[in-house]
Amino acid sequence: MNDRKNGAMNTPHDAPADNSPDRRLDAALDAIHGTPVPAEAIERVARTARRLAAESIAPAKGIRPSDRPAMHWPRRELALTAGLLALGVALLVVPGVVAERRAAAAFAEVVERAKAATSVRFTSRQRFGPGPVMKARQWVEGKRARFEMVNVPLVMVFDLDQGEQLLLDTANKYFERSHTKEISMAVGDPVEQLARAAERDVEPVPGEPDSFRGKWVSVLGMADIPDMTVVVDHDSRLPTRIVISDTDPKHPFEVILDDFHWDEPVDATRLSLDPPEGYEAREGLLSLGSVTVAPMPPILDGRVIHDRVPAAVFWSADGTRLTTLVRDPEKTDPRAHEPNMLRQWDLATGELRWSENVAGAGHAALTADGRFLADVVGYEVQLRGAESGAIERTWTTGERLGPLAFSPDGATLAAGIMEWGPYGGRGGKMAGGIEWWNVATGKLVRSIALDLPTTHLAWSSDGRFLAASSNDGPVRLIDATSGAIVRELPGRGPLAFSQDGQWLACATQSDSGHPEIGRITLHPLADGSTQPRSLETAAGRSPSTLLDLAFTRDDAVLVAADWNGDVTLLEVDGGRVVHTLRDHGDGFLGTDPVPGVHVVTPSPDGQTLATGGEDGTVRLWSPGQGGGAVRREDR
Amino acid sequence: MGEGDIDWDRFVTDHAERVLRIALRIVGRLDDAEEISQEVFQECFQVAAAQGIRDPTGLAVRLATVRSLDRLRRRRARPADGAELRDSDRVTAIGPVEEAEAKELTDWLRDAVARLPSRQAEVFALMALEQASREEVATLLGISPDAVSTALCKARNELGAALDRRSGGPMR
Repeated sequence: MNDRKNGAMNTPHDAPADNSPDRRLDAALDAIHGTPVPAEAIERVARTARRLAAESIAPAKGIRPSDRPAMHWPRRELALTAGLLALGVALLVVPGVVAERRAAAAFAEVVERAKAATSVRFTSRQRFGPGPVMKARQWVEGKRARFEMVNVPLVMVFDLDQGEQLLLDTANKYFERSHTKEISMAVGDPVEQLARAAERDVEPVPGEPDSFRGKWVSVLGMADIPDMTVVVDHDSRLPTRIVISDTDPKHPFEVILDDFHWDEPVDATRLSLDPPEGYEAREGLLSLGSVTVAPMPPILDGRVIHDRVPAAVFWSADGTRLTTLVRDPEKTDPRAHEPNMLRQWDLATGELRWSENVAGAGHAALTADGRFLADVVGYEVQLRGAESGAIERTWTTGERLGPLAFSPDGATLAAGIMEWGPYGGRGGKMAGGIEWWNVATGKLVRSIALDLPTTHLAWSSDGRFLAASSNDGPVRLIDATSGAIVRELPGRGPLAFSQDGQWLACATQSDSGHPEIGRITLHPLADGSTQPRSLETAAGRSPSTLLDLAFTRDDAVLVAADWNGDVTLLEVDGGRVVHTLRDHGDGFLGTDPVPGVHVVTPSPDGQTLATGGEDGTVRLWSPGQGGGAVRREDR
Repeated sequence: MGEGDIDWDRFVTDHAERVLRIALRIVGRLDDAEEISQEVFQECFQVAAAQGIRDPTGLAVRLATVRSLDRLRRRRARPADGAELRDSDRVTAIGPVEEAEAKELTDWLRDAVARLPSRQAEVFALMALEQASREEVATLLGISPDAVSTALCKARNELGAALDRRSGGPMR
């Protein structure tokens, strides 16, 4: 099992047997060959290529216009990919390309076409100064518009003809309807923005035939914005992306409008000024002016810690401190990667208490009494005092360890074995297992082997069982004393024991698109008379891969975090969705990776829920108060 | 075979993984590799529309190789990347020392391949990175199998010498 593949890379634990250039060259090639090609990336490429085929080939074959893809293809990618050959061919097959037009005239055509459109929907991202990115979905039809904030439970509907606006607080189901003469759709209407830009000089963007750049445009209620870039669809000449920005450090901002869908009928209910059923009138929800010309204020009440991506979050026993294991976002350029860190925050003051470098560590664990933290750096297990973060004991392992879990009494540390990487020292062969370590002595107590990498590990609150699963399943219930596998359960990925030891919750998901995705099975542990229960997340949204599960302290609610950025609270009895928290963002904005929620952890007193996501925040929620967020922002 | 005979949907299904894999292995960054893959398909479609394609697979593989090498050369002024080597997350645990070693070596290799003469770089990329057979590479590049062997040998010698220089002298 430990045989190394010929030419594989040397690890610090294996002295190099041959340092010749050929061997090192082969080692580098082995490393490259071991790089997996993500299935979702293949699917993205294929999906994009099919659209390209429809655009490039289908017209010649007489495919009806309705068969062609919607006009939201990211043209930037097309423009970027236009090499000399492609451009030459394009010149042959597409007569009259933009390169031969005068930019101003071409842009005027864009504006006219946009004005002629009956409707448009698109997404927007706005960042003002150091503030958070505000994301929204927007619909515009004639003089009516709908503005749905993604980060904030807020919807605005405008009707310029009537001078009416409807404001909805979707978290608390409040509405406010008002009449005002001051409504401006500048922020929401791309056509208006284009028309304003057309009054100024517009120049083509070198090397990007379908892009225009406007200088010193006046939009968003502000004059002379230095830079506005408009990318248009090559065929329809309608915008696919608009970027408005000012890099002046005194007042930097950026607004990106993209994912445009032109001339699609808008559901009348979206633009209705009538409040939805069940909403209660409330005055002074927010002033419209602050929304249209300035960044949204932080939401209502709650708290956010802005940091790098939290891969793990732990509460101190008294609930006054949070410890986080943070890493860089997945989109970070590998050259810019910084070491993972363990950090502790004081919740009363919002201050960082300590920060320790744990480069390479992707997992950590905290004892139930909150005294010790454990992490693994390379092949070294580090036991730290949770109060100071200082290392108190270390020992080395012969295995590549992943998830960690302390026994309830804190005397034993269990660690999941994960061998699967191209640099794993097993020639890329997958393997897993569990090791038990005596925390006091650092001695290995027991080790069992499993056939797949152990990616998730949990210890039942009574200390009797360990549950281990891999991303590919199954879930194994293991006698924590003997190491014997007691039961093998269907499920994969995240798992959680209820506090009373009655239930083991397992995600039953598979790959994207699998019918089981987003489902959770509760397996009874007590006796054979109780049937497993099935819970389902995703109320009204496409289900997503679950990343973490946790029971509330009273075991009444199971909390599930997923890759869509949703945190779903489900009743253990009945499976009803109590609440869905969506403050970590949303995956629909195409260019960013989906901001999944990686971790959910209830506070010791059960009054607060901490969630950490790919958006680089830890958010604290009071589930009993409608999921309100953000009391204060700590940086 | 003209483009009229090609089932493009099937073509995309059959070739998306290979095109992406070639690009990823050469450039090492997933975002770049995806962009190159789209460029490759776009070029295939445009060539098909303009003049027809006799061997769409060969064109896709060749374009994927050439465009990726182009990207690598454009990027050479900057330090090479290794997107496959992320800092660990919940499901990976690469030791920091190994990570640094692996990244350094693969970064170096990509940089060195970008410096090779075009033909050698193409042969090396197709044979050593994509692990295509000598005969397939010969067909793809329109050269004899012997010429493929020669180019591969020269490429490996050149890379070996570069490794020696990097290490401060021959280590054989």
